[in-house]
Amino acid sequence: MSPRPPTGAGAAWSRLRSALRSGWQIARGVVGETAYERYLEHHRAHHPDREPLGEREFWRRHVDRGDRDPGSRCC
Amino acid sequence: MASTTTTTAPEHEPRRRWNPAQILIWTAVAVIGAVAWGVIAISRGEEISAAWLVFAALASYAIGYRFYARFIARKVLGVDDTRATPAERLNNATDFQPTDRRVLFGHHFAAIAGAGPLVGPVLAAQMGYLPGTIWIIVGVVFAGAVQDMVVLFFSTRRDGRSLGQMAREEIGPVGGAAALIAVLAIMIILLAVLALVVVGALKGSPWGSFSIGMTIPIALFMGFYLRYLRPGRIIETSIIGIALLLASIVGGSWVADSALAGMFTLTGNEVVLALVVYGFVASVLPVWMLLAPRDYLSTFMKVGVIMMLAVSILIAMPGMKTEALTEFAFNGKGPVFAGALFPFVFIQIACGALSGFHALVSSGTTPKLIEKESQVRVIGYGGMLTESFVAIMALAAACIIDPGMYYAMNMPSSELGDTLQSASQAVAGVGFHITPEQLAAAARSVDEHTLVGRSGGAPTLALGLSDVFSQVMGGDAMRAFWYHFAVMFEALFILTTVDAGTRVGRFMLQDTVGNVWKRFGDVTWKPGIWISSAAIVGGWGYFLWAGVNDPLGGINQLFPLFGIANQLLAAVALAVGTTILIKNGKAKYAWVTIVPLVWDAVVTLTASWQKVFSPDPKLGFFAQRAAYQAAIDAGQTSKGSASSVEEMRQVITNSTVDGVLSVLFAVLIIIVLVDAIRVWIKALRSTEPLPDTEVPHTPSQLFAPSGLIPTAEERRERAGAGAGT
Repeated sequence: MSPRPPTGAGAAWSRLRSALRSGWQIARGVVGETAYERYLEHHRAHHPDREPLGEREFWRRHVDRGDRDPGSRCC
Repeated sequence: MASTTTTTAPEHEPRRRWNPAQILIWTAVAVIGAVAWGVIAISRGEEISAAWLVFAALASYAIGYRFYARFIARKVLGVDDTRATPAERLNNATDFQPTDRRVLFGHHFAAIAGAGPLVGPVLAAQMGYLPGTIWIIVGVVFAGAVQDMVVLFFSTRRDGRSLGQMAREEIGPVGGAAALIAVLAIMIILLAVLALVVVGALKGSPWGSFSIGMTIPIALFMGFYLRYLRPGRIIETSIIGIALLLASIVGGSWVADSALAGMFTLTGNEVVLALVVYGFVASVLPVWMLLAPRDYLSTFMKVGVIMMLAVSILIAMPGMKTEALTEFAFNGKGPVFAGALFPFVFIQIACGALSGFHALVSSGTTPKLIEKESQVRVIGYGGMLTESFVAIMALAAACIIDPGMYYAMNMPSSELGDTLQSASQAVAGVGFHITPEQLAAAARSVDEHTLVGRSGGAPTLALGLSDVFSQVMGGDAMRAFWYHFAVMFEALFILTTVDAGTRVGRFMLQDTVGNVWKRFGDVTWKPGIWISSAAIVGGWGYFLWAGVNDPLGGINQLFPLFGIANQLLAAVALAVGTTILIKNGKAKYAWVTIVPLVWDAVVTLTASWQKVFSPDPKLGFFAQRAAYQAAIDAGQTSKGSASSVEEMRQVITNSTVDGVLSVLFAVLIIIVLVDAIRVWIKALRSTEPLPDTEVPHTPSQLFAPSGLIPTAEERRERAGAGAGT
C-alpha cells in the first residue's frame, strides 16, 4: 500500500501532480508511445531467459506489422 | 498498470440503496435534460442558442449511460469480471495485450470517429435542426451505442473474432458472405464519398490545396524522423508535425496571394487525379513512411479540434439561424438531397447515431485489448456517445450559418450557375434570401475566391467553425485562418481514411482472391499489392470521378448510397447480436437489439424502395434514368441541369450504376434478415442449446476498474488486495 498521504495544501498539490502525471501517461498510451516499455515489461515477465529487442529494432518491427495487418477504422 | 491480484468481485452484488446525493444529482440531470429538450421542442420562430442542443445531448447521454447501458451490461449481456478476457489469456504483447481502459477508450474513439459524423449532420440540416438532433440523440442511446457495446462484448467472448467470422459462424455461410460483400462495397462507396468531400473543399482554392498538399512532405519528414532519428518519440514528432502544419496554413495565405497561386488552383478533375494517384501510392508504400505519421497527426488534430469546438460553443453560445423544421422535411424537395424526413434523415445521418462500420472496430481490434468484460460499457457504449456528441456539434455549427448561405454552398453547382447573381436567384428559388453582395462578402471574409457551390459538407462546417472559433479567439481578423484550419483538419483525416481504407480494401481483396489463387493472398508479393491497390483505387476513383462530373451534384446522389450501405452493415451487426442472445437463452431480452434492427431495416428498405421505384426523377434512380433517356430519344439537347447530350448520357450512366447498387444493398439486407430469422426460429424451437462458439470460462487473475474513474468500492478492493496505487 502507498504511504499515508499528507494533508492540507501539500496534499492537494501532490494529488494534482499525480493526476497530471497519470494524464500524461494516458496520453502517451493513446498515441502508442508506451509500446516499448510495455514490451519490456511483458518480456521480463514471460521470457526472462532471452535478451529483449533493442529499442530501435523493436520500433522498426512494431511499425512494420502494419504492412501485414492494416487494422480497421471507421469513417 | 496491469496489477496482478486475484479479483474478488462477487457474482451477485447486493442491491445498493441510493444515497441522497445520488438522487439529487440524477434529478438535476433529468431536469436539465427536460428543460433543454423543452426549449428545443417548443421554440418556434425565435432564435435559440446552440448551447441548448449541447445540454440536451449531454443530459440524455448521462441518463442513457447510467441506466440503459448498465441494464444491458448486467442483465442482457451478463458481463462477468471473474472471466479472463482474451487480452489476459492470450497476451502476446502485440495484438493481444491488456490495455488500460482510459488508453483503450482513446484508441477506440480514434478508430471509430472520422469525417462521417461531421458531414452527415451538415447535409441533414436542410430539414432543420430538430429532426437531426432527435435522431442523433435517441438513435445513439437506443441503437448505435447498443450495437457497438453488444458486438464488442460478443467478440470479446469469442477471442476477438471479426464481424464477418461471427456472421458466418452464428448465422451461416450465406449471412457471412453477404457481410463480406457489404463490407467491400461500403468501403468503396465510403472512400468515394469522403474523397468527394475533399474535392468540394479544394477545387479552385489555392490556399486549401497548398496547405493540404504540404501534409504529404510533412508526413514523410515525420516518418523518416521516427524511423532513423528518434524511434518511438511519437509525441515529440507529432508536435513538430503540428507546428509545421500550422505554418503551412499560414503559408497557404501567402501562396494564395503570390504568383504561385495558379499552380495550386486546381479544377475538380485535377483534384480527383491527385487523390487517385495519392491513394495508390500511399497504399503501396510501407506504412512507416506515410500512413503511420499521418495517423498520429490526425489523432492529435481530431481530439484537439473536437475539444476546442465543445468549449467554444459553450463560451460563444451562438444562436441558430436555421428553423427547427423546414418545409423540405415534409415535401421531400430539398435541394441538398431529395426525399422526405422519413426515411432520409436516418440515412443521411449514419455516423453519430447508428453506424454499422463501428462493428468492424468493435470486433477484431478492441476486444483483443480489453482488460475486463464490464469495460464494454465505457468503451463500446461510452465511445459511441462521444462520437454522437461530435455529430451534435457539427449539426450546431451548420445551423448557426445563415440559411441563404447554406443553400448557396450546398445546392448542385449546375443549379447555382456561374455568377453570384445566378446563385442568389437560385437560392431565392428555394425560398431563401441572400444577396450577391452578401455572398461576395462571405467569401472575402475567409479569403476565398467564392463559397458558392462548395458542397460536400466540409466547407459549410468550416464556415460554421470559423464563425464559432473567431468569436472566441482572434475575432474577424482570424476568420480566414480558422476557415482554412477547419478545412485542413477535415481534409487531413479524410485523406488518412482514404489511404488507410484503400489499404484495408486491398487486404480484403487479396484475402478473398487468395482463397482461389494462393500467390495473390501473400501480402508481401509486390505484383499482388499493385494489382489489388489499383483495383480498389479504380473502384472508388470511378465513383469519385462520376460524382465530381455529375450534372445533378455528386454528393447529393452518392451520400444516400453511403448511408444505406452503412446501415446495411448495422443490420448485419444487430442480427448477429440478436442471434447470439437468442442462442444463449436470453430471448426475453432480445428486444434490446431487435428494436433497433427492425427500425434500421424499415428505414433502409424504405429508402432503397424509394431510390429504386419512386416515379419522381429527383428521387428514384431509374425514373431519373428513364426521364433522361426519353429526353435524348426526343432529340432534346439539354434537360434540367444537364446542358448537353453528353451530360445527359452521364446522368443516365450514373443513375443506372447507383440504381443497381441500391438494388444490391436491399437484396443483401433481405438475405441477412431471412437467414438470421431462420436461425432464431431454429434456436427457439430446439430443446437443446444450438452450438455456440463462446470460449469457456477461465478465471481471471487481473484486477481493473469498470469505468473511467474507479468507484470507492473498487479503490477499497484494490487497496485490500495489496496492489499499488
